[in-house]
Amino acid sequence: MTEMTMSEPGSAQNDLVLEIENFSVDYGWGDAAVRAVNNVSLSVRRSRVLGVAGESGSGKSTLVYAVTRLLRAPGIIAEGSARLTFDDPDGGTGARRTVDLMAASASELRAIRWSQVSIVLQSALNALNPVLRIGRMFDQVLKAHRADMTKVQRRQRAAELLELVGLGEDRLARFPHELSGGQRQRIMIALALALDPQLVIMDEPTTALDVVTQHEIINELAKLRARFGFSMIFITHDLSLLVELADDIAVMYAGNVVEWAPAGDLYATPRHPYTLGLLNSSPPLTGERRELVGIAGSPPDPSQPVGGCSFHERCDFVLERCHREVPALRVLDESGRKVACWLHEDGVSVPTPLRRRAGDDVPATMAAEVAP
Amino acid sequence: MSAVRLPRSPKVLVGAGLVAFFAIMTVVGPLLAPYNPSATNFDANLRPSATHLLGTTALGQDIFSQLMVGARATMIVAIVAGVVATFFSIAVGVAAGYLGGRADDGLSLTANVFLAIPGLPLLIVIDSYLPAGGRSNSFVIGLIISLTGWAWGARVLRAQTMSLRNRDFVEAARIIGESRFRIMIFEIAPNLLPVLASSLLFTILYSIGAYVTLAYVGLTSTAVWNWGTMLYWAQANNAELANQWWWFVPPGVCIALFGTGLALMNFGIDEFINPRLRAAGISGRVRRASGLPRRPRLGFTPVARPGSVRASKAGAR
Repeated sequence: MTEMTMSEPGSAQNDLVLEIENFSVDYGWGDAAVRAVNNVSLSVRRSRVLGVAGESGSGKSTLVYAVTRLLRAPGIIAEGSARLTFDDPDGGTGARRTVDLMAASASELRAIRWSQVSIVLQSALNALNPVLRIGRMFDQVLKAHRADMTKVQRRQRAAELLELVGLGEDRLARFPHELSGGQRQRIMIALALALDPQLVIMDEPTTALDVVTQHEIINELAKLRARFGFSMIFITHDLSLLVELADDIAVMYAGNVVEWAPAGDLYATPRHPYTLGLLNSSPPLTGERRELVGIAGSPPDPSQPVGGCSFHERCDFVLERCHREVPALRVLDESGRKVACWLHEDGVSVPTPLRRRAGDDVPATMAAEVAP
Repeated sequence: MSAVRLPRSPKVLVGAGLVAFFAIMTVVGPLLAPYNPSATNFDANLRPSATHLLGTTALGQDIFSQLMVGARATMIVAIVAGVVATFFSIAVGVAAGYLGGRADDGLSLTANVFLAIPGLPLLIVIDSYLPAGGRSNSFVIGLIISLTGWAWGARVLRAQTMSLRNRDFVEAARIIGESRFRIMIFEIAPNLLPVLASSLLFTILYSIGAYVTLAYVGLTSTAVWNWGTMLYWAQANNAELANQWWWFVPPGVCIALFGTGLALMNFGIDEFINPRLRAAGISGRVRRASGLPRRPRLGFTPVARPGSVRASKAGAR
């Protein structure tokens, strides 16, 4: 085991866009407080996609909302820091500016939001104003943040943005209810990109859509990212979707990050029993069809914290130690991937499904069937 | 979240305190009055003193006793009128908003007519037809006042109901087959509570104003002591010109303070009823020590000062 560092797996510490350190979020105050996100450290590099996966209630949305200070009452950021670094619009070429999101004032946050960090929400219909034409929404954003643009320029920009997400210019004259769910979600993405943000946060943007539309949007996003080079945080409970899009994936469980690794590694060689369980419960991208296995039990009640590892009650490979001690997220090997699990501590024999190497014939997900 | 947490902002506490004070006065006021308020066996026009806390009237009546006895009739009328008017406004407003169509047209028209008719002249007209027994009965007067006070609340509730009637949970209830009456009472009405509560407070406030005005004009029985009749007698005896402030100022101050109390309490209603804001019910000391704002602000999630909010629990994980 190497010393724990804050950098992303296998990366240098420069060119970070978002850096989250020891971040904890509570719902409620005082004795009634419930910890929803517990001591999470993550980072996003420039032009990279960080996927955050986990089942409902694992704290993935709470984490990003709190980091951007958008979490609603009674949410409170209990501890930790989050810093956003972006190209300084006032500085010269290559000048970077870092803002401590936890110390920022309301007006500083307002200046950063949308122009440097933008968010695409899950329900596009609720986020679009039903009485405004699509064109008006683009117009308003650009008017507020790009005061020097003329009306014609704003209109051109809006048409350009629509084209980016694969929609025709004629949609500018439509109302939100005239568009399909997929089209509305594309509008949201176009709006999020309107000001060339450094970081785009996607909170389950494709959850309400069918798989075909979902796939189209994911491809669209990958193309847009390659073209504009923004970073992305993509939240979903669909791990196989993330593997397609993300560079790195952080798996969250009960408010903790339990595994954080490059997407390919995480998919091919999961190291945490929960990641393995998640992979086993969704169909594989390629290869033969196999039986899907769920994870028995349900996540712990955050208001009744269990001792030890939060996953021990559902874990197939539970050790005696897991009941008592909380495993920290630690660097696992030279590749820099991290896992929070006692199974990978020195002197413990790692179960076969969690020991697999990338070249092995039997996929890790298949090997689970021989697990104890 | 276990017990209901009462709002603790100073505004609301002051308001609740004022209202509680007058509520107690309503109950025990007549018992505390040192003299019979109608007895004329004292010297006239005495200034406030130890024997007569608020002096005496031109007829030699004890003003403090009048004030204490008068509280009861004033409050009873206000509460009867407030409750009855609010009941009317729920019935008309929710039905009009939910049923729509012709029912809405009819009910809205009625409400609009009552809004358009000037309240006070209508009250005076109705009141002048009352037999003497009715004029001295607080409940009858309260009912009459409620007649002119319900329309505003009905309009507000109708608007709110219309915004609720097409929400998914109402549509779901409709599809399940719940009766219209049940939907109105159990699905919609609880969502109207904040509006309803503030509507009740302001209707009570209006009723006090209306009752005192009626009494001041001399249209209620002058034999029943209330704060309005006190003003009536003060006016009739030129207390203002004689600068006998102890006669007309105390009832005026009582009315103003009670009204202020109701208005201040109104601030707390939102905090009390909105579950999201209820978490704000920690004491000011703890809140300040933790560096948390009084009211949650959208888009500005509070950051707790290190180790302050839940040092005990955080250690447990």
